Amino acid sequence: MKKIIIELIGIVVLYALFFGLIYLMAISSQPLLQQWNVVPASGSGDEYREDFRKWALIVMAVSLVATLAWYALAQWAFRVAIPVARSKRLIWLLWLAVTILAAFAAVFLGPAASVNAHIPTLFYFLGGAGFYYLATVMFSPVSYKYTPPGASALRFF
Amino acid sequence: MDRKMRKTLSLAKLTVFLMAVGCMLASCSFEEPINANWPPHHPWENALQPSDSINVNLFLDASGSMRGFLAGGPDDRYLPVVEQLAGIATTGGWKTSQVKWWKFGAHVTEIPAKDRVEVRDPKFYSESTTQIDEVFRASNIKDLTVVVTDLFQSRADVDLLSSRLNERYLAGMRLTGTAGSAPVTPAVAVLGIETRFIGKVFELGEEGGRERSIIHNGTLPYYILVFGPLADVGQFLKRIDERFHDLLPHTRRVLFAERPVETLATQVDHGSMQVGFSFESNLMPRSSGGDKRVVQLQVPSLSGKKAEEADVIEPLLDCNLIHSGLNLDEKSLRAEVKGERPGANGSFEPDAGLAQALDVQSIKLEGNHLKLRLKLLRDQLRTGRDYRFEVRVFPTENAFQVPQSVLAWSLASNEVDQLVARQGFTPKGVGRTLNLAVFLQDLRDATFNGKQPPIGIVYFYVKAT
Amino acid sequence: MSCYLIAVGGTGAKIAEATLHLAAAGILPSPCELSVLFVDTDEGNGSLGRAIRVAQRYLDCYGLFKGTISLFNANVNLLLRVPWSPIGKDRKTLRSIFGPSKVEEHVMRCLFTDTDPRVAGQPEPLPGELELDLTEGFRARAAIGSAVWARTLNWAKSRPFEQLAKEIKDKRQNNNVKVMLTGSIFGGTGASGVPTIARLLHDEIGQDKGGKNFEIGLLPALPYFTYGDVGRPGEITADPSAFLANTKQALDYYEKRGYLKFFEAIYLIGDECPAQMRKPAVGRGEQTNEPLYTELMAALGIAHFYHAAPGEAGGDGGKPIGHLYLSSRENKLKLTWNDLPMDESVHIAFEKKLRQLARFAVALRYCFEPTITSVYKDGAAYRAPWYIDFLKRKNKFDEAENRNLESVKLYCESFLEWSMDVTRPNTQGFETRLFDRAVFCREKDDRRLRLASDDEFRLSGLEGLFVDKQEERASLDDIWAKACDTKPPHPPLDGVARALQAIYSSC
Repeated sequence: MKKIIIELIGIVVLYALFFGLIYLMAISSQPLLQQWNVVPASGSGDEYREDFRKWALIVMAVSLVATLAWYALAQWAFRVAIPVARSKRLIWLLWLAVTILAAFAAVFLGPAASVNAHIPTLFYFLGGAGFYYLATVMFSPVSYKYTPPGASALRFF
Repeated sequence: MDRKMRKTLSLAKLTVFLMAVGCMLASCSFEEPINANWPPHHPWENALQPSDSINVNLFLDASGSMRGFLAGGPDDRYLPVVEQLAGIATTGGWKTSQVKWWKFGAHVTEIPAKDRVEVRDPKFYSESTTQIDEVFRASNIKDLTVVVTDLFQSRADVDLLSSRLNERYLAGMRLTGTAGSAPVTPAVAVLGIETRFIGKVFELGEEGGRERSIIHNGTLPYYILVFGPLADVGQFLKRIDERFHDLLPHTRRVLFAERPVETLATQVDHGSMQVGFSFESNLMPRSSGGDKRVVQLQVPSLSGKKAEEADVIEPLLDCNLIHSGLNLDEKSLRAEVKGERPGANGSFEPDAGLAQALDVQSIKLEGNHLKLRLKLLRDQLRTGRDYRFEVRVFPTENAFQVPQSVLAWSLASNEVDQLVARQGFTPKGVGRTLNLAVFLQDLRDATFNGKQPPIGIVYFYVKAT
Repeated sequence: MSCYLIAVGGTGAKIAEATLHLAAAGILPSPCELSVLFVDTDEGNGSLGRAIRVAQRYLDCYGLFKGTISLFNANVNLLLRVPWSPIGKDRKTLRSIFGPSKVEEHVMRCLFTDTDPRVAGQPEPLPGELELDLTEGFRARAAIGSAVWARTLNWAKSRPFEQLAKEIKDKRQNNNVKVMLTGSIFGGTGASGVPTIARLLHDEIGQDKGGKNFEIGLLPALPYFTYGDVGRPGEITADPSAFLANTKQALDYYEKRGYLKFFEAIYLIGDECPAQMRKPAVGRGEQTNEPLYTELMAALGIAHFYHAAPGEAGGDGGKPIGHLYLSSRENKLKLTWNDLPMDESVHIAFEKKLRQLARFAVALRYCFEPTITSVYKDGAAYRAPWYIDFLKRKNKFDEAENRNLESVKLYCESFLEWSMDVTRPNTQGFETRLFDRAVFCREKDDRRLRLASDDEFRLSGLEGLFVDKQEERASLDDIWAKACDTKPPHPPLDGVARALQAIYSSC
């Protein structure tokens, strides 16, 4: 039980970092979006960053939900099969696809930028999928700790 | 490698990664905006406020030519108005006001309160000359001076009156510089009221060494000149309007003041957005206190942009012109651009060459709004620098003109018309009408010539990235 | 600690098998060197064969861990790969053993029956005791056995005993040496062989140097099973109805001949409700009496003897005074974990080790071994994180390790098969509340038991493996998770042993 709490706290802390990045990108007094010359296609810079913040939070929320869903399945739903099935990685990939879909939604439904539009786009994809990957690599339940690709090289606990 | 070393290595990898991210973020930070010498607020950004307490001096022309205004009757708009002027001054909205009546002719004599009924007495109007200088000697520019006169003046008198008014009330900006202005703007208002007249009309020029005059039985305008602080003058005129609702069709009014706007806009709407740059709200130093006169722009470099995607800005600001009664030719509005670049000590320094970077393409006055169309030439700005621009919109000298209806105020009497016409009186000729026009033009010129009173000032803080 | 176990006869072999399983569970003292000698005339005895097979599988497993963990921590050694027999193929009858001497022939005819012509209906007369084929055992006739032992057992010329004596003499100089003899007291081989061998050992070693650092223990099994007709009418066979009488006689014999005086400890084991053997047989491979829980009790007695401090088991400063240990259970028709005979101080620990071995055997057999095989062949090691942690990181799993894994799996199957029988009630109304056999066992049509298939196991799951131990319930998922979360100790074992160690510790 203690381990579960620690892992869930770890996930929350990681997503707090994600929120911190969103803050740095769009909310702080010197937003990185502004510093990196992300110019909106319409509206003022403040309006653009406000919309970006909303969509980034949506992507973050979807990524967090995907992470927690994966965690819940791995912790409480999955059962050891004999022989062990490969399907768990497919399920992990499915939730990754959900975060990527959220990023696509943010790109196409969120505010558009006329200059340096690749920066918010990359942020949506790398943030949503990246934090999902990091969270699952670091905090997946031990029975499935190496299901995320590359986890065996990155996870040391 | 044992487990402990593996763990240490993984921690080290993670640390290096986070440090790299931190360095990347930190390296992208730009320098703090320049923090110094922010343009002061123009005094005209403050709304016109009437004085708390005012001294009102009412000067009544006691020359003989005024006697004809005592005609009485239903079209009498002389006595009912004149007799109320003191009351208007007293209840004009000032906290305290001290009103004095003065009779002027050869001299200026105060009329005690108990004697004020004498204004009805034709004997009151017995002065043969009017020394306008006496009026100015007795009045203070901070006081509200009201002169009731028929404005029958010779050219010399016109020159004298207009020069005195110019010196005391209208020179202001010309003396302090075109950009500067007195904290309290003086104004001169000319209110002509047409009333029943039975009497002689003078000042029609000399004939045979004698001054011509005719008997006129009809209507004739008399004039109330009001001069003093603009807000108080406006307040006085407003009280007259409130007191005498039906006076409007029978009046002509012009107000001369070098301040053309009620208030200079303190807030700018940056207007429609153009592709290629963004309006921001946090580029300026915090010490500027969020100055809403400033349009903050972040303008990236031109790489990747199409040539036709111009950096066009269309700010919109409020522009409530004072109801002066003058005609404004919008095409005569001009804009002056001043550019500043960062200096050595962190403050902005003027840069004459920068004015070309911001091109004013059009100025439109739409109702109570001033709409500008500006084009920012990004290629004249250096990347990584902040710039400051001031765009000042002002009317040219000839932008404001006295309406013809005021200049050529026709006399109701056909006889006077015919007389004037027979004598070949024209706007270029000598005559009362001419003198009125000359007088008013003199006042207009004194008010606007050599001056560039702003009707809108917009600042741009541009960050070239 | 040097321990010896001399298992005489079929019952001795079954008790030795149970002792080996306890050794695998880590219940014997640590460190411990256990040398086992099987003694039986009936080389083809099924129980003996099974015991030797278990011993060989144990040895294969010990080689992986070499005593580094409690699993297989006793260093087991087989003194002979085949059982030692007092008779040979060329001398397999009493007549041939005692030779052509007429005097002896006469004496033997007085003592033993000759070919008996009295059975009617037989085309040929059935052989008597003098012509009995002794390679199928002594048929529960201790008299036959005694005569054979007396004739053939020569300390100096019997190779294993010569080596045994020399070994013990060498080892006792630095360590305490304990020798346990076990066998049935109601049978033929055990009843006759055990006291004979014990006397010889005592005379050869026990008398030397005042018996210092040397203790002998005896575990004679009293009647605890029975069976029906073996199906060979007229032939000389072991008669279950005579077991009690034989037992009484044997005990009487021991007492009168002073055998009890030189044992440090005697552990008597029997059962008021004897188990009914399913398929009785005369001997050889047909005589595969299934393991019974009584042998587990006996093995725990042997473990107790080995654990006892020198002199504590019964001696007093080297002078044997003889202690009698009796085992009993609380309920006549029920055997529970609390009924297992262990010292109070170690009861819980030993119980847990036994259960740990059981859980390990089930988990390995049905989950971990198939997983390792699947990953080894098909890849996708991420499916089993422990595989990566223990078999891929700084380690290797190749064909050689695969064979090692197979050895451990075979042992686990042996253990489970033994457990199936041990926990099966062979008496009407009797209940063994140790393991729930339904987790890993199914009954065939002929009432024989077999290990459950993978599908059958999948349906039952691991959680209910132990009866009356709710607090120790653990599912396969729990064990899997623990194995994934386990870190190898330092220094880690190599090869598949590293993974097995982790899996074992997770059980």
